[in-house]
Amino acid sequence: MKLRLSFYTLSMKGADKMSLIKRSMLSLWKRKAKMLLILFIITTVITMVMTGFTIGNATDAAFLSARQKLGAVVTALFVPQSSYQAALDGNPDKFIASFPSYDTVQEARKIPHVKDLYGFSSEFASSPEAKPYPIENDVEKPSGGIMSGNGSFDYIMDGITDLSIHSDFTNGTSKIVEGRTINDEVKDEYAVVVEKRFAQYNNITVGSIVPFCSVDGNNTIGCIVVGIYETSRTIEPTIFTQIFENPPNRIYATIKAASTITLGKKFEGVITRLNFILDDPLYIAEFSEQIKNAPELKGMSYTVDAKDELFQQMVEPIGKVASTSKLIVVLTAIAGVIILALVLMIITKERTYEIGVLMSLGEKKTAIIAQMVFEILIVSVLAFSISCAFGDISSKTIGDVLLQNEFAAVNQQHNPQSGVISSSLDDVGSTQDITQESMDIGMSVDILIKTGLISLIVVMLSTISPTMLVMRKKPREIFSHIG
Amino acid sequence: MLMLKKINYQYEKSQKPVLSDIEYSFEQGKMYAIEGPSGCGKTTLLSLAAGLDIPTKGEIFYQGTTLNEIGYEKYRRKIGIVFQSYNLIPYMTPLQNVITGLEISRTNGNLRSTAIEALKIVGLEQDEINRTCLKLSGGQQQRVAIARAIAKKVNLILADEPTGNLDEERADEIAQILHSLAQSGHCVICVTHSKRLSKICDIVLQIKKSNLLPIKTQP
Repeated sequence: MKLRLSFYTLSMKGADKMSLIKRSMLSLWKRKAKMLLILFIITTVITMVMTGFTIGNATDAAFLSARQKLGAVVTALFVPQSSYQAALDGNPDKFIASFPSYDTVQEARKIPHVKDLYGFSSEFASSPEAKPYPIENDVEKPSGGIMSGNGSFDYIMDGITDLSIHSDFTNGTSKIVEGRTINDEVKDEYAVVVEKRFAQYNNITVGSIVPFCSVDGNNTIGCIVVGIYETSRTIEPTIFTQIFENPPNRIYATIKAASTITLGKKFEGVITRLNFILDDPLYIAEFSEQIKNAPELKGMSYTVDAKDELFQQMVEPIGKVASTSKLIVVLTAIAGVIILALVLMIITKERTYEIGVLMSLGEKKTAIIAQMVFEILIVSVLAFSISCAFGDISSKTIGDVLLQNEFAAVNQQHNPQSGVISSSLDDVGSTQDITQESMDIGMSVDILIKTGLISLIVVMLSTISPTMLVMRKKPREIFSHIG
Repeated sequence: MLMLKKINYQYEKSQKPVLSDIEYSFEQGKMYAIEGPSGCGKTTLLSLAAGLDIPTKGEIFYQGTTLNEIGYEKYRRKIGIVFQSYNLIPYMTPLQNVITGLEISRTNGNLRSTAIEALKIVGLEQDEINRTCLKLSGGQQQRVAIARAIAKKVNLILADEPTGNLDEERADEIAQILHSLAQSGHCVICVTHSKRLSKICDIVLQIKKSNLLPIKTQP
């Protein structure tokens, strides 16, 4: 019918077109009040559909952004078959062989979609000489904290193969301000990079030798400070905050230094984690499956963590908003079609007499439909323009309200007391990232086209069907029915 | 001009036909009146002749071609119809109504002046032709309906009670207009109860027992 109509409009003579347009404009003018009602309904339907699409698009972008914030990192966490003590009692070489080495790191770089890769191990450490940097504005702690009594948990010592590709250093949270970073050039040294405030607090400079040991005071190694870094990471002290959580107390070391200090000389070179940085966050799921059977990691026992839980926590509210927005589109489209069709049916019924008159004068059915459609299209174009002007505001308002509600619900669900979702000392992602995940809601050409097409279909269906219902009767039947 | 051949018409839920095997040939240059009691099928016959409905059986020929062949829409554009209930588009003025009729029938020329001329012929004043039809009296609306039919310059005019709502003076005027159209070569068929209108018609037909019978013919 649409094609026939367009064909009809195209094939009409200029005078016929003028006649149709004149009649439509006259009809619109004479039915101002009814047309205002239709304008209001169509504007509401279009705005709601536009809002649904806009929020839908924004949620898609937010999903991707959440993935990108997590750094497109997949971690292979190597799980020892036996404890370190059991390994010492048994066959330490076999035990160490079940962890990746520097060579494994080089090999694993060849796996498809791996942009970068670094080996990592993270353990608590202590120092017989250096003092941990105190927590600023710390709160009074109760006696007998969670880490007291079994050694000195002063520092987190992160052994790393290449510090320059650590997420904190690539996203600007931390940067080397003096000396150099940790990479292959210093891999055979007991080298560390320390935080600026910690260095100043202990009068440490690049080149200083600082002794570090395991929490039980064993395995003391004098480490050379090859670089000093600065970080913008902060913590909000609570009664549960431990000194090692203070960002200046994070020491980056070579794998050799970290493993020897924290585990002992026999475990030198143990890498407990491989962090794969992918070329695109979209491949995370696929890659996670792929590396489970990677030949480069054959014989090693490991679990794969794609930060899915964190990702799910980050996107859970957005996911709910996405499904709500889809519901908005579907429900408003259905409700809109029904309401609009009913209103247009009532109005068309009122115009049954007029349709009968036009038919009795010999007007073509297609011309009558064209007139009805033309009238409603004029109103729709006006409604569409109004929706474009207000759709952006409406989308932002509704999107923000939905998102805030979902965040409130999710926060309550995950951590009813503190109001935060999770606490992570990991090298990627943080509580702040999760709670501040937001949607960039904005109109796009794509949304305008989609909304325009849906509105056109709704309006055409709602206009053509009742008009066709009237016109399937013969003119005399129409008049006798009215009579 | 217009030939009815074995026309039958029966309403869906009715057992008895309203019109039965009606055969008649209407000629150009004559004015016809169709009479009969209420409910005898006068308006039905006129509706069939106007292509507003389709006979149950039989054929209608216009200038030798069946209405089916011509196409009902096209046929309606070729004739002028005056409805008993006027059938004007209510939100339009008399002038707009007549122009709309001309536009639909694809009439050439200056439609506005043609419409004004037709409205003058039926006796509508300048101020009346630009008033919304809803604000006009029944008689004024009837004259607009007649103007819309005669403005089209067609050969066949079908009118259902064209003088039904007019005072005697106006009714005579309209009857004269229709008669003069017939004299100038048109075929005018009126369904009427009015003896005054029948009187000036060349041929008077009556529907009796579902048949069309001539009761007055021109010598």
